[in-house]
Amino acid sequence: MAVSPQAITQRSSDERSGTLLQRGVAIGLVLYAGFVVTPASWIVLRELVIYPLAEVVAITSVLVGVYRYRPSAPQAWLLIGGGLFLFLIADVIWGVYKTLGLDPFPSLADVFYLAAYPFFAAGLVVATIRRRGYGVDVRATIDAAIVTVICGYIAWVGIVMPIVNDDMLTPFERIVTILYPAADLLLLAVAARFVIGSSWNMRALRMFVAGVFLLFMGDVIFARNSAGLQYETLWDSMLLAGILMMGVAALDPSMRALTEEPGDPWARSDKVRRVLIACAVMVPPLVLSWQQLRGRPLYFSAHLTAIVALTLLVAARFGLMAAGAERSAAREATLSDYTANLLAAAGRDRLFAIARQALTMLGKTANGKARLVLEGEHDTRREMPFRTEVKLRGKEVGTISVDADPATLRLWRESLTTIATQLSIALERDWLLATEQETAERLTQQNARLRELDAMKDRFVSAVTHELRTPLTSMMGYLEILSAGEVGELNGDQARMVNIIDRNCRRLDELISEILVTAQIDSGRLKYKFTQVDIARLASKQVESIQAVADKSDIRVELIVESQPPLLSADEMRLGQVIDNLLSNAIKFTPAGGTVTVRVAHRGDTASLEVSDTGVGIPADELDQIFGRFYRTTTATATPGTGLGLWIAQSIAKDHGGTISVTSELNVGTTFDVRLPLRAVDRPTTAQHHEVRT
Amino acid sequence: MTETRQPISSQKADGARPVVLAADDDKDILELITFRLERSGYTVLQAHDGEEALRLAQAANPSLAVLDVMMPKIDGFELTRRLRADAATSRMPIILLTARGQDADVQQGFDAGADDYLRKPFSPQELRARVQAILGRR
Repeated sequence: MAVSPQAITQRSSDERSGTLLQRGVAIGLVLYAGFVVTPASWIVLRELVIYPLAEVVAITSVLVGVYRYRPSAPQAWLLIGGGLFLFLIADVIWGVYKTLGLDPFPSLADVFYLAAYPFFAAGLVVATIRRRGYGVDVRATIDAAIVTVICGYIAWVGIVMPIVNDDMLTPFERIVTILYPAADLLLLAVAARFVIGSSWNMRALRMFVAGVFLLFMGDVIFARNSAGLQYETLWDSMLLAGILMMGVAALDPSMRALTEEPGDPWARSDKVRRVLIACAVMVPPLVLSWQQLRGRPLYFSAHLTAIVALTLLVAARFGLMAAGAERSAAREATLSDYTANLLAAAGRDRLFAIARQALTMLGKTANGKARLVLEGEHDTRREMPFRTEVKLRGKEVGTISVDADPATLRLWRESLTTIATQLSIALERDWLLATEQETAERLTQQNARLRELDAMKDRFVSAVTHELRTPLTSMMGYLEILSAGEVGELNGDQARMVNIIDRNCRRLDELISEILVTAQIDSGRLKYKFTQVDIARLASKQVESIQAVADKSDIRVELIVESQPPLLSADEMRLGQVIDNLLSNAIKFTPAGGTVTVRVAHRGDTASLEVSDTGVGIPADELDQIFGRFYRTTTATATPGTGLGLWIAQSIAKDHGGTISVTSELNVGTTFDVRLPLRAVDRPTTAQHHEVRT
Repeated sequence: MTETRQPISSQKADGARPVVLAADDDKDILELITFRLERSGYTVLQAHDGEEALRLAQAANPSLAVLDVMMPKIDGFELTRRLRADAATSRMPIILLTARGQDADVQQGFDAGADDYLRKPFSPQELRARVQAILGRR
């Protein structure tokens, strides 16, 4: 691991500061121990050496800390150091008085003592203001006020009133005496606000706050025993410890946090605070009861003031809590509205707009401002305490950033993450929908175009067929009249030639029909009319109708019904065409004197129709090609034909859910076997797409 | 037009011959039909398109009509429907000639009200046989 020189410096400096704090604490402990063990009678050592020395250590610690750690707002620590310095002067004056055996009251020392408190308070006010972060935490202020009122009330009943009623004191002495708890209260109010409003869970701050607390306790004990002074060592040592801790705390690097750490309100929930406030309200009645039990004066005016003040503060506090609850309900509502709106909307801009709207609404529920900054937009705020990304297809398209106090931030964090996540999901969904829609549209367009092309081809073939058949009709019609001798008898040659023309016209007609059917099969527009068909009877009909042609070529055609298959669902005319195609082929390729056999049988769950001939046969390597369109075998070159008949036959067989297979032996013969399923199968009413074999 | 009038006059001269209306936009086919049927003892009225055929059928009330399907102006199907819709010609037998030869076309012809049809190319003798069969029936 590579460590940068800067990091090394940082660490060694931190190590040194660790030693620094330890040294400060060690010196403090020595001085404290020295003070405690020194007999009360050694006034010079105690009051003029150890005490001022401890204060010098405290002040030096503050100065060293400020110099070493360079807090951005050193004035807070310097004010505290100033307070400690005033303590030093006061204690030196007091020490001199004591050494001289004097105990003047009020004295010059009191002036400096009392002047120190406002300095401490000012230091904490600066710290609180600097750490305020974003906006004023009203709840923390009210809570601190409640603490102050209770403490003030106790001080009033327990300290101030006894002084006021002390007949031994002159009015001036009373005022000065009362100024001490007043100064304490001032410091307490500020310290409470600091503690409640901020995170002080750092070594330097813990030490400092503990020091302030010791200062209070020392003052309380002093005040309660001002007459007797019997606990002088106790309260004096407490004050000494407090002063040392307040000063030495500045030797820890976390001393910077006094003014730099953003304010993080007391992490306790409202629930805990509510319990504490309820306890606080119980204090006046308890004190009242205590006073009555001890037989002391009751001070009703103090009770009344405390109760009224506490009631008002508690009411304000609960009011704020209720407002907070209302705001969180509004926040929930905003979020659920947001989700619903996102689901209902489409389009990226619209979704962003909805998110922005939700953030504005959210801003109304708390003390802060959240904004959505899109990719490419300029973010005017340099640093935001909270950011969360909005992503689309794994890429950041924007950030939601917040400018708010930490309390608001904690409340919002979850909501903002939700907003960002929901927005990312909505964007993703929107993108997918748009893409899907685009693809669907493109496919629909392609489909429409293909359908149109198919229809065009159909119309074309249909028109061409019509155009070809019209002249053919004239030619064949007049040939018929000619050969019938209706316009004069033809001689032998003439008759033969007219016959040749007629035969070729018929071939042409056949070719046109085959092309038309081929085009129809291709475009899936060949229509079928399924009925119950007796295949044996159909075969017999076809054999009969081709008999004349076969006779002419001197070929015997025989039909053998091996076993009668049940009726099958088929288009009789198309199936007839299949049989006719196979029969014509067989006759065409069989030499005179040969035999063509049609065999019908019921085989398993199929009806079988075999057409065998004793013809020229098909070479083995061409067998798998004969069903291809326009394919003509090498043995068929001398025989007229289009090469479409077998393809059409197979297409029709397929549309019936059947097959045509072929076996052949050269110069022995060929057998085509048509198999049609007897079970009902889903058949298209029009032919579907056909595989084209080449 | 002169061609069409002549047979009408011949019809008057020889009232015993049944009159057959033949309509086809192909003159050669029209001639073929006329030759065959005139030779077989019919008087033939020639029409070259659907409109003319409709006019002739309504004017001359022929005994039978042989109509091509693919004709300009009014096609054979439509013509058949119109003839069937007209009271004067509603009972006139109609034979359609179709070149497309698709079952759907044949079905359409029967739906329109045709009595018979022939696929092109047709045998003139076959046509004569159909005509004789229908008129002999009556």
